[in-house]
Amino acid sequence: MKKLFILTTFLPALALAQVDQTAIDRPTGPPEGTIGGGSQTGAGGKASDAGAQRPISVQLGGLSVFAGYDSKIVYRYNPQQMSPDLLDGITSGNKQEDKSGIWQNTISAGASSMPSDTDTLVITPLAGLSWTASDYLNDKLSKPLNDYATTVYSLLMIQHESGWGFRVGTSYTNVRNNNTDSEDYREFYPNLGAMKTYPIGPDTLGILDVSGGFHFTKASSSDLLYRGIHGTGNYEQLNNRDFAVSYTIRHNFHDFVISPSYRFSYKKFTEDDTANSGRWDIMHNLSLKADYALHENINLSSSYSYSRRNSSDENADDMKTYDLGFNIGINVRF
Amino acid sequence: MSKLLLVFIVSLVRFICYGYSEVLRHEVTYGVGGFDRAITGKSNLPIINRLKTGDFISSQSYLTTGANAYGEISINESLLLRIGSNSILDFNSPAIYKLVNGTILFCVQNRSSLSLSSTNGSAEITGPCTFIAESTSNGGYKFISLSGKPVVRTGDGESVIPAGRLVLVLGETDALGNAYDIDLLLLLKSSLLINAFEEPPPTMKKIGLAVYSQQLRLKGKYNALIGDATTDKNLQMWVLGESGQNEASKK
Repeated sequence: MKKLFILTTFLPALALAQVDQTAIDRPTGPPEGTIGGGSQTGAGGKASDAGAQRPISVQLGGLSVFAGYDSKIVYRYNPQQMSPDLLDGITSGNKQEDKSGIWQNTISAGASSMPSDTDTLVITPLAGLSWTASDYLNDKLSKPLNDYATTVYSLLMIQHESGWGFRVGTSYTNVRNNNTDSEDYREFYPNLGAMKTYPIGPDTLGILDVSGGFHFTKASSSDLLYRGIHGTGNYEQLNNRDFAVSYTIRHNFHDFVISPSYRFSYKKFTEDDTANSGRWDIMHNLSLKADYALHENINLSSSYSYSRRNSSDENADDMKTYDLGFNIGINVRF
Repeated sequence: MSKLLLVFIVSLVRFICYGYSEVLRHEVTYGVGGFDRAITGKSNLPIINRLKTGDFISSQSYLTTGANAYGEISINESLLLRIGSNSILDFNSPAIYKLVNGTILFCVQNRSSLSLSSTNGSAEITGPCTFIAESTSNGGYKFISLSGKPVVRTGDGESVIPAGRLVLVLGETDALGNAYDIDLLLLLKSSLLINAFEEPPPTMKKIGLAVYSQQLRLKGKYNALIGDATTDKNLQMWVLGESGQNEASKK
């Protein structure tokens, strides 16, 4: 789903913000990188004030298809997201592996229909799917945790002239264990979201995102165990509703885009009479990402992320995890 | 006090002579550099006034700008007119304009229509919309829609021009010429009709929405810039060569 927003919601919103930014900056001379600050008019090519008029080709109807491939190598501390007591073996009696390299490969594809324009809104429906294979480089974790996840989603994006973009959608995810070829986890996730992008400087954007939804899940007993959850009588005990707010600063620095971000999420488990009955989790996540566009369709990035969970459940307890990773992504639109 | 009295008397005399519609109703909301208004005096000699922010003017006058000069006028509070540098505009009435030379931007905030002609070409435009007009050597002008779906009528018929499309209002025939989809974001970033003023146009949010919509439809960009229309059949294309040198070609 994260890739989805990069491909669709975020880039157009960024473009929108750049327009606002242009208006606020109000340079008094021709902007850099353009030819004379205007179109080339007259035989001598003298500049006018209308602006540069570069011809483009646009799609007038039908479907717009996009596809992508991402490869990510990451070092992660506490990949099982266990509490320190579980991790150190104080609770279970067995010290757990607390770190691993992970290599993730994702292929994705999707299609959107052409946007419907009204006076104040642009509405765009889209659908897509992705397939992610995760390989844990720590041999002791690879057998239980190596998996491949398949996600299909549909989404309706509504962009308002105020700059707020709204989205409503559903997704279905299925995670299968590589070793046993059995389903570890699946969920159906209807969700809502809103995002506002606005300029906070000549090269800097602020991005506020609010989202929430319901997770209808089914997890195998082994999956529950590896999530540090005891009591495996109900395989739907991970059902929850969540709410998240994130704020990201996106700063252009030479050829790089630097993006520090903070995300707060609240998760309330909804299944009664289970080990998670009445449980809530609060998660704080801090991340720093640097992107570099190697080509129009190829992006390199590195990221660091730190997460901390405070839980009302004694068994789940508090936990922290962090990771450092490098990513290469290839995305194309047809 | 005497100045206020003088203004009152002048306004009263103008009201009696020209009627309510021509009393100073159009406010200069921005003026910098040599932004002038020329009217014909009693002896048929032009009377030229330098315009500045806060002035009120009537129509039936020529608006001119020199180098690095820009002007903005709120017309009947429903139209916003911006004039680029080195431009001459015949402001005949709130609904009739003639672009003699240069560039203008219009924000039309309701369904009203206006007539915009040039040395040779002419079209009637119905909003709501935002558009830029740029005079060309063939006597016509380029019409560039920035927001809305303006209806452009000529003697040859009418067309709806979506945001992000440039169409040539031809000088030699009373018709619309070829239409081109252009990179709206690049135009906005480089247009001094957008960026050389203190405030963004009032329709900026709708222009931003048009950019968003165009980004979703975008398939590719050509390595060229559209230039002048020297005749109805020739439009200059400035091809951006590999060495970074611009090369002029004609289409």
